Amino acid sequence: MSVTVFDLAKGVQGYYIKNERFNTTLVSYNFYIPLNDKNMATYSLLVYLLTSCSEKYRDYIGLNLRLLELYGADLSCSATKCGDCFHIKVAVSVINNNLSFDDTKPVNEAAKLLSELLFAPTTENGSFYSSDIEREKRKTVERIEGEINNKRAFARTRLLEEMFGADPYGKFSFGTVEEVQKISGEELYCAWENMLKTAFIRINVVGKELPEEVFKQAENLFKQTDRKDITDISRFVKISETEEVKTVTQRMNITQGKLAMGFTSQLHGNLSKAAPLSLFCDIFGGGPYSKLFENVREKQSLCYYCTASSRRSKGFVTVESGVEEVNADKTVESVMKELADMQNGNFSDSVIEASKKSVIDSLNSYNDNASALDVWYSRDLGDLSSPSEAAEIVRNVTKEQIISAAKGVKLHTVYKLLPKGDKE
Amino acid sequence: MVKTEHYTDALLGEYTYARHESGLSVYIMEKKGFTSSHAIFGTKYGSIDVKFSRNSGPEIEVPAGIAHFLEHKLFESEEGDAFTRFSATGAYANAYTSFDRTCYLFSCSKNFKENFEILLDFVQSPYFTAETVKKEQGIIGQEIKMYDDNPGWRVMFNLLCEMYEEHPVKTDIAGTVESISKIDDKLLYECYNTFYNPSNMFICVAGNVKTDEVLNLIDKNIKKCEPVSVNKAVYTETEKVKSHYVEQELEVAKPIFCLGFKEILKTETPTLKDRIVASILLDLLCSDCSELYRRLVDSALIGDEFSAEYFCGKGYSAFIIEGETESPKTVAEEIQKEIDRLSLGEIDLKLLSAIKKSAYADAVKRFDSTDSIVSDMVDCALFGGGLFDTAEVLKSITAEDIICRLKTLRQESGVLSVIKSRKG
Repeated sequence: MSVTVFDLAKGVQGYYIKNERFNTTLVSYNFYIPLNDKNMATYSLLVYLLTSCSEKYRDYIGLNLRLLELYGADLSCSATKCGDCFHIKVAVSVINNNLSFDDTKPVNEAAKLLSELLFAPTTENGSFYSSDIEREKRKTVERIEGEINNKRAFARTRLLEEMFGADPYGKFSFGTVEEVQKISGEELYCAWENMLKTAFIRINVVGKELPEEVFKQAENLFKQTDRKDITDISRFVKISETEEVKTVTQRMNITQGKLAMGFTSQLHGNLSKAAPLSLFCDIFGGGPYSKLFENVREKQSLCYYCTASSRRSKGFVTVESGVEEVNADKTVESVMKELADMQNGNFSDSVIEASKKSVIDSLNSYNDNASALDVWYSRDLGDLSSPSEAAEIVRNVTKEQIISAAKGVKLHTVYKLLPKGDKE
Repeated sequence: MVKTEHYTDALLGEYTYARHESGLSVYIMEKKGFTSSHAIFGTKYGSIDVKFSRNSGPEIEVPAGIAHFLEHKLFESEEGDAFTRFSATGAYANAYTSFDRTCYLFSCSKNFKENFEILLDFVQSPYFTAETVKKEQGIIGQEIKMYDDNPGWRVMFNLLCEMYEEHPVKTDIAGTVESISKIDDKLLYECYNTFYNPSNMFICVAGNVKTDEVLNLIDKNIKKCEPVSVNKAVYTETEKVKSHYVEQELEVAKPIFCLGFKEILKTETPTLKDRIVASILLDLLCSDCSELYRRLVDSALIGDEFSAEYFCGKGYSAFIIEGETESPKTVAEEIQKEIDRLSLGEIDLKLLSAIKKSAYADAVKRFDSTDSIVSDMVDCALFGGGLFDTAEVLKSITAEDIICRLKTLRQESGVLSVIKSRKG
């Protein structure tokens, strides 16, 4: 695997991630704008609107048919928080040109379709069509309201809301139902123009070959755009530690409770800076050798799952578990006991070795997965290291660095989603 | 090995099928250029196998959920658990149980030989005691409760309960808290000795491996044992369903529905053509390119959550369409109307051709991932056929095949399952 970087325009990078082993090619446009709680709902709605139709494929069925004809090209989009940026991704994955059994060049055609969706949407007098907006608004409202269906994800969303308070990172990416309903066609149009002009942009191509047109098309289109005030992707707002741990309990008609704990951390940033935090997290609550798996699940049978994960881009750690109400406080105590154990260095060299091997093994596997490579080259913005270079960084982390990362981890918020009692 | 066959496809590569002296089926595909490898050691034993006799002995009935329970327990041995052994190598290890299979797996980018030996060893080394069984009842009890709150899971099993009179496919894979309380170490050994005989098992490997090396490792590590003949109970189902409607209340944003049509196949398990025709039929009926989809979206009856699957295995076959809507009965009526229209022969031939093209590309794309390859090998082991058969079968499918099959989707064999919203 090799990576070639192209400067296509001001603040627009092209990444060609050459990988011979795939039958498919993936092309993604990644836009980064400053995270702002006032416009997350607008940009989330925008990305779904842009990928539902275009000037050429006016109707969503027409667009879906075109994708089907291009050998079932897979079009996807997302709007997610990435540190202090809002990351808007539109991607298409399609079989390689040599596998086509007619004259179509699926990769070239799919890349062209992607740029048409982004640069030539269906608009009229400085606005999108109201019927398209209303359809996508309805679907977005359903996405927001549907969050409650997955109780584990719901507990995670609620934890971040409580933990981050006024920091826009705490907000649900789709915004609120009220915000979505208020968005006007003009606002969406301005957001679209603003995204093309000011976002930091990375275009990834992962595949066997780089059809010349792909970056050329993008270069030409951005030449016609007045690119200015480009998003500063190095911006970082740290969450403050708390003197008093916040505890929030919410009740719902459910059978099993959900526990979500949020911790602040001293370390943040790309893997080269925050590798000790990743290893801490893995030993604490990652693999089956982890403290939470071994003690909270296996020894005490308190729950079916109890896992820890870190968000390096924002520098915090979460622990999630599904528990009976009667065991909820006991689980919090056990998690804190295991954290103290980590801070006191009570974990063996063999566990560190197991964790390093596991983390390195999954880094090595990135090379076998086009989507994983696309994510790799679009999440760590300032970091140009490859998965195998990252593996080298992980290999060199010491026990002292892991203890130091653990010592910087402090409990901030405990969120409990518990069943309603019969009387409630 | 008593039999070894090699299969080649000019675009997709080559793989080997072998049959070991013990009766074990083996599938291996070398993926040149890949870093990682993926392996499964599985048995044709799942949650539906609750009534059986061994070597012409008396038929016994075991508690629901025992196959899944056994899967959890097999990771343990007298010396410690298999997860710990895999941790020392850095591999990712896991297992899963479904209706008709139990699979133990690992993936790794290094130490394939060592990991494969661990896999072969722990699956062939059961260790169950009264104490370890008791501990597992707590953990699995939590897992069952987690699914009780999962609306997608509940809507499906409520549907199956109404659809099947006798067939155990209607019972939750993990059983119930009550049924697993009846499991003890003796019953686990009984099931293990019946179903974990190499003659009932398969090994599937893909990735950065050498076929000869894998075959040698199997020869060296498969323990000698007498073949076992198993008679699994046969369930006589008719097209008749218990009732046409079932509902439950859960905390969801909007009602969730599952509309299923029970089908009685001529063969015990569906053929590859049965499965492909079913999948194309569902795409024609309700994919995001279909007329029905346009009607339902434009009248705001459905949003993002709308999909279909062909659900099949030994002795069961059903077409299932699921989604979220405020009006499940109206959506079900619309679906039935569209089935009736298409059954009259009104198939859009252009759409059929595009769906076949896309299905071909889907089959090609699966060879980009060792996980997908191995998963397809498991299907071959259970249902017969080869890895490269899809393209050929696809070519043979006509509009008449679809129309003929559509006629089995009749109102009399349909069940609508709904999860209603319980607010407050």
